[in-house]
Amino acid sequence: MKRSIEITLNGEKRAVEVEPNDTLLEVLREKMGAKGPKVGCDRGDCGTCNVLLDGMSVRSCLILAIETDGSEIVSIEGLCPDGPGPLQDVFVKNNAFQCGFCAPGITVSAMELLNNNPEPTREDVVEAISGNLCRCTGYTPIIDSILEVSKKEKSR
Amino acid sequence: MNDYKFIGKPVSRIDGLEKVTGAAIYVDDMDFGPNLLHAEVVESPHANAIIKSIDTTEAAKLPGVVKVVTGRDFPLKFGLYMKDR
Repeated sequence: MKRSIEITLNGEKRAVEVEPNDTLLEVLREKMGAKGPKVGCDRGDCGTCNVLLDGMSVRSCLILAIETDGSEIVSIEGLCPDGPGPLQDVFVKNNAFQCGFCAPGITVSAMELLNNNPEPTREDVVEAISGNLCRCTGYTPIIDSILEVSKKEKSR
Repeated sequence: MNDYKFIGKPVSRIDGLEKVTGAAIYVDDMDFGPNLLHAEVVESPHANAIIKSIDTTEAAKLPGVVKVVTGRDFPLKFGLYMKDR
């Protein structure tokens, strides 16, 4: 049985019809056109579907869309609406990603970390992206980039 | 040493920015529309056998089947294990 829910996606309030068993990831990608969150494993292992749900990073493949009625969701597309932010610039400068399939999830996880803790230690960064799998560049350039941007922000 | 344009300088990935902003389109993100065809591979039920003939007439009759393709439609043989054959 279809239900209509209302969610604010990347700052825009939108109504969408969902089945009770639709995951948030399915609704974002198939019904709302947000292809930024990827379907990596569809079972909560890889983290590439991460979005911010009311400011908290969650796996959109493990959340039922119907539960998110009335909430605010930010996907990778809406993370920096005015062009790429400092974190994204540093990721590019350091070639932190190769195939880039994990980039949407890692960027969301890193943004959540930096929002809550602007001066993370290396351990904090490792912990924050521990739920995101990367199979190409490895984690070192990604961790280095997140630390680099946090130091840069601090000096501002 | 001469000042080169690229040698000795860091080069950013040409697709780096679209990957970190979610703009990059992967195959799973593409919409091929309702005319997308699906393929199904039918394998031999025997581990080691000689193909004497393949009868595809029944398969071709199934509703919705557009084309049945067998090795006969591809004239070349290649691959690591073909030297055994």
